[in-house]
Amino acid sequence: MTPARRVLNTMHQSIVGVLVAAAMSSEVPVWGQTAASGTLQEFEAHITDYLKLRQDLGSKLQPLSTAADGTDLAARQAALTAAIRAARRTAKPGDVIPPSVARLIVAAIVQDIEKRGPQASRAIFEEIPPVAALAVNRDYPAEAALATMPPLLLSTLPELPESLQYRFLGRSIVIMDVDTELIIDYVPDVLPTR
Amino acid sequence: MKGAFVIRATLAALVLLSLSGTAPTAQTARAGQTAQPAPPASTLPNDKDSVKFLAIGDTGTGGSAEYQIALRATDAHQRFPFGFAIMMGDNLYGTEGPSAYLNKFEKPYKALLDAGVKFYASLGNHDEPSQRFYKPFNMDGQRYYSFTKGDVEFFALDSTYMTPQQTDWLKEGLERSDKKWKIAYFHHPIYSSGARHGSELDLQQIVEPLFLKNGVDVVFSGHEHFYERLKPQKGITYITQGGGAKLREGNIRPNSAMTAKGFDTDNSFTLVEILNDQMFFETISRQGRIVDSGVIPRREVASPAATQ
Repeated sequence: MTPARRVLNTMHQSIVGVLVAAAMSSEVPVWGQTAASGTLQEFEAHITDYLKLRQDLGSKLQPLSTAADGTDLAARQAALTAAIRAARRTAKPGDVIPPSVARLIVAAIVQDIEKRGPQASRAIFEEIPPVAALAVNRDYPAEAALATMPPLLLSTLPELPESLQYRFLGRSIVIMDVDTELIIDYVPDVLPTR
Repeated sequence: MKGAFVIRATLAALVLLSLSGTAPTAQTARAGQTAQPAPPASTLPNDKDSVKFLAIGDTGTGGSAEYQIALRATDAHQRFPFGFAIMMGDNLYGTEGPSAYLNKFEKPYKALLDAGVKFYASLGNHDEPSQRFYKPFNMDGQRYYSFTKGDVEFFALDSTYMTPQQTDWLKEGLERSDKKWKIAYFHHPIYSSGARHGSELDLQQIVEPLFLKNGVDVVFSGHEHFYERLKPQKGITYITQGGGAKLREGNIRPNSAMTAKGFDTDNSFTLVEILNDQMFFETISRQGRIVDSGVIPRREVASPAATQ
């Protein structure tokens, strides 16, 4: 067992322990209740801050939705991307996804993979593009396809607004700005090595 | 405008001849070539009151196969004037710079675009979500959306990112729809005999119950680079049409009990005509051969309780 896998297993067991204890106390642990404890509130606050920044920057540019053609659309995307990147030039991992939420995301992924058979797991992995280096504010690789997020897993992750998406990249899960394909944060090494 | 269109289509047919050696259409015969046997007669009624459309998938390569399929579709449009096309994703492969839209969509399909055919795209795993802002894809800025044509409501989904919100939207839309026909289309097939991908089981768990309960008649998908019409699954007909440019030869599992008709030896596209309670379809290969055709009756779903 790799060290990373050992860490994931420990996290998994801790989370499961919490879940079992909560269940025994007749409280079903769901995202809403973890929000009450502040875990998700911090995450939601970071998301809201990002959306506000994005909206403020976007209001100074021509909207993507009225782009006339491919050239126009690409130009507007580039402008929005540059503006967001500049405004968040000091952003680092954890600025949007706090460690407590990262642990819950990892637990959800581990549980999902364990429930699937080998064929279903392989179907997830086959679309995920490799990545040489991951960083906040980098683009999702332009030449790579967007790996499809398994819907059943997606339903267990904290909800994101329409302008943001979870995607797997390499062995990590990223939060990607849908219109610029900027990586705004990520959790590394959530998937086992293949 | 119409005359120019006929001339362009004739020239397009001549190009097709040089590429495939297939028998020409009547137009190329009029252009002065030696008369050759006409292609097989179409099985489509071509009724003036029907809903007619083109179904294509996985088209966005900008390569010769895409151009050839586009030319065949243009040729078909002359005799079967479909008003719109549905695209089952992977509309643009590779980097999506300004030239991608031009070279991988606008140029290959220029004749149809100039003829006023509207393309309604859905997103595939090779598509950037920002394609929803590209006007010629008619997505109105949405990853998932619906539109109606006659007595048919189409539901275009984003199967690469199926959120609970999208599922709720689909449920509400299907329940609300008062159209006789409901057609869903999206990239990943929930039933497939493809050896490379196969059925998308996660997605099947989520959308199939909604389709069954709310009278969806036919589902189109892409992703697999071939054509497959499946035997009705719990009463719904599933069609994979992912042969619009790429091709995965021999990829349909030969002994699949699900396959009604498979075609994985060449690229293809599908013409569809909905007339009253019948859906006629015709799948045509890159060579101009009709490789599948038939009629699908509208499902009779009396009430949601009837399918439980």
